Amino acid sequence: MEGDLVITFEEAFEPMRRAAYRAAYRLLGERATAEDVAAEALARAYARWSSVSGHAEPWVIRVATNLALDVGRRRSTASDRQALLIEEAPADQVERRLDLQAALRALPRRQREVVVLRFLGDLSEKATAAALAIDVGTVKSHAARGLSRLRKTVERV
Amino acid sequence: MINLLQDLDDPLPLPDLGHEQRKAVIARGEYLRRRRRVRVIGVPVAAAAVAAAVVVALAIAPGTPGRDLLTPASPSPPELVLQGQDQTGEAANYVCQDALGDSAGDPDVDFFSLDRASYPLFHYRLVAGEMPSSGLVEFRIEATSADGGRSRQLVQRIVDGKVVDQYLRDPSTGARRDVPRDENPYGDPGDHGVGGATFPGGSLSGLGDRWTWGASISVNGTVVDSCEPTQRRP
Repeated sequence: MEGDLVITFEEAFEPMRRAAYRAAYRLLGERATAEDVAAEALARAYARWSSVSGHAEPWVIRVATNLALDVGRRRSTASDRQALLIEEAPADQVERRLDLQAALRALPRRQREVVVLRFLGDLSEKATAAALAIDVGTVKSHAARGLSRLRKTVERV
Repeated sequence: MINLLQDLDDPLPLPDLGHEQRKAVIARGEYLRRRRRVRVIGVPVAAAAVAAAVVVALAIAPGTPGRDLLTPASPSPPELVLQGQDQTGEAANYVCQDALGDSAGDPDVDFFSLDRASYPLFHYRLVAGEMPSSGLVEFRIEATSADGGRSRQLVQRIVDGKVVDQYLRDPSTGARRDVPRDENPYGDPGDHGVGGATFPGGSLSGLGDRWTWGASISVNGTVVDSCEPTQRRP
């Protein structure tokens, strides 16, 4: 998808939706909410497709991640956590996701962008570099630093 | 290292979206696209109430200091004195549309509106990019008289995602008036933020009744997005 400036929104729809959903679900663990987040990310991509189409998948991953983090932030109360614990995901995964959200928020901006695209979006180093207009070596260094800061969370995952 | 978080994946496959649901996504996208072209933001009742509270607070304690560490300590700029009422100008009738935008990684303003002249309320939202977690982000509106001879700047500055400063400035004299950030109806904009600020009545006085305005966002002194008023409300 990257670099293909003539791809249509319709053609990109399902791949983008799956990428956005995957990132949102990894953070939230709820199907309905992750689907809503993915749909909103796609709507935003549609609204500015002429500028997004060349890097649509990383774009929707980043938007979906931000939206999911916003959802997570609004659910910071104890009652909200309790509600999550009786949802579909195992309790330990709920805590891991909350830790992951907090850890991502605490990362410096560029490290977080790299970590989101590499590890939430499963993009390659090359694709991540292209999406962020940086070189692969920079992706590697940011990923390593970001991952070391996330290690405590990630190792539990 | 890739697929590091796959244990958190949904174990069930995601079915393709149905035709009607896909249409709903596109309809929402069309709506957002229209809003990107012509942004007219209704003034929430709550924001109006907060604006009134700001005016009352300023009447009680005018010139409340709000200096942050990034403001040069010396020499202190002269206090900007507000006289007279704001005139209509372009407020409420125009909105900005981002002109730079979409630079990977930079905050990208989805809209930036000046909702009214009386107790100016400006409002912005980021749609792509994130609020930098470190460094200085500055949102700035500059309103200019029809003859170009007078202008006023409405400025909000954010450090580490927190609003640290907002002020009104006359660029021709350097006179400045701080606006208490505690009264900001939006709070801190956060990573993917909606933000704004309310300024005191009279902030745009002296610009005549046909002033125009534009807005910009800068990160560490570099303008990364800007917009100009585009269309009059029908």
